[in-house]
Amino acid sequence: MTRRSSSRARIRTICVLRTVGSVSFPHHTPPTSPVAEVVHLTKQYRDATAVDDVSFQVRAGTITGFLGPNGAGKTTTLRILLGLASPTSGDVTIDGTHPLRLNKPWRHVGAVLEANDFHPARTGRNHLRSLARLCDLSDDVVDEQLERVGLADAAGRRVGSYSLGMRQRLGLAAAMLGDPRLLVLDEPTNGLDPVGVRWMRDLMRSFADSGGAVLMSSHLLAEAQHSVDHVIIIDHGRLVADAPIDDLVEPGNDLEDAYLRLVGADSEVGR
Amino acid sequence: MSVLASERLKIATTRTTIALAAALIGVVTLAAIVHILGFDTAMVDDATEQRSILTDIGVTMGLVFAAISGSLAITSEFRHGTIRPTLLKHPDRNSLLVAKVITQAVTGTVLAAAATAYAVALCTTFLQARGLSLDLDAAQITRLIGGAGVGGAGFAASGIAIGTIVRNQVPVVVGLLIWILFIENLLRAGTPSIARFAPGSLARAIAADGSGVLTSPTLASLALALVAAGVLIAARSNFSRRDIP
Repeated sequence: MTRRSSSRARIRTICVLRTVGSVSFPHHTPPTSPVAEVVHLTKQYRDATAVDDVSFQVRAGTITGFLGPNGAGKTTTLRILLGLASPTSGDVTIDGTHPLRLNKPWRHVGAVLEANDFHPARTGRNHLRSLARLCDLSDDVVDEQLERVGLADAAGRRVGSYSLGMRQRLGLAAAMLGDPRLLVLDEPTNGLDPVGVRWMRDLMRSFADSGGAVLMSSHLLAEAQHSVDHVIIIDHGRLVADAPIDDLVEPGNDLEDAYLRLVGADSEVGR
Repeated sequence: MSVLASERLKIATTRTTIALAAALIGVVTLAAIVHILGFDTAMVDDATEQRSILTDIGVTMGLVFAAISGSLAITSEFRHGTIRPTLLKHPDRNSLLVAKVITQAVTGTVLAAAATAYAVALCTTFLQARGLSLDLDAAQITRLIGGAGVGGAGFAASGIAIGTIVRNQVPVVVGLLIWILFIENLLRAGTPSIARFAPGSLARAIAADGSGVLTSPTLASLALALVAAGVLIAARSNFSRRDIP
């Protein structure tokens, strides 16, 4: 057995790796029922498998870090979970329902997949108003969200003049319109300054503490270690680990050590 | 209704439609100067010539801008990524497409009808400046403007459909310009039996007496609606099936 496969086997033993539909090997009692569930998800493109039989759950009250190298299949998985892409096989649910069949989806899930999903000539406030119309929400709710993310003063400015941090905040305000139970964030701290990173971390924690669930993908392992309660790692489209962070990170090590071991890159780093 | 309200707000909160209207005014003005002030008197002093000029500089230009407006309504969503938050709040892609068709059909109607009305006013003024007069009666002018409006709705809807399928803004806009301004003219010159069923010819037939095209405005309207419905059905199938990047 190679070092890489041996590491994976060991981690698989200590982790909670659900086998949906057959046998489960619970290591931790789930704190609550899952808000989101990915079941045997596979996504194949013409000549490549982006996601290969991945299953996991996201639970209320937790921040789940979704980690993996570039091209591991993280964003593809998130897009399928959100109903923006269709799987080749497998299923995804949010609050027990497929994302495309959710009644009032904004009450269930909000997401930020890109930091620049805005028309640059539209003001921040009008961007949120156009989305609020879709949710039958009033402009008062828009103003509340702008206040919540600290953009009230810049709301009348065109988004094209916003800094990256302001765009991240606006994206979050859009995601939180309708007070969803699940927040899905793709690389939420990318490009943020330390104050912005801290702000984002506090917001996610506050969201989870109030009973929501956060699923965040990230390359920034040190930041993830500070933020997340639970870690899911995929590599080459396959699930490598699914465990509470305390189980994954051995005493004296950090998340980076565990991550490198799991994706088999520790030997390359040491070379 | 909520998705319709959102689409209306999207139109009202960028300068795209105003910029298109301003560009349309500029193009019609330039074309009117060239045609009415630049051509020999013999080419502008009878009703048939005047109607042909108004069809070219008012109706056709209105159709071009209606189609561009429709295509931008969807391609800018892909270009700027706003399609993602939109579909996250409103995952029903069919009703989103319908809302865009309704709002852009209204926009296309207004753009094309207003462009034609402006062309009529401008040509009347320029003809008077040359000591001539516009020899079209009220019914002919009404048909020009009304026909342009009907054609504008069909072209805007078709622009949305093509934009939904192609998604990339520049090829869609360039392709629409090439089709309306060059290929249809080539078809009219080379294969008039086929060209009379081309969308531009159908719109011209609605707005003015068509020689060599469908002469009934009702029939031409139905044919244009069928063309728009055909590409919209293809767009709906494509939009509901393909992944959002």
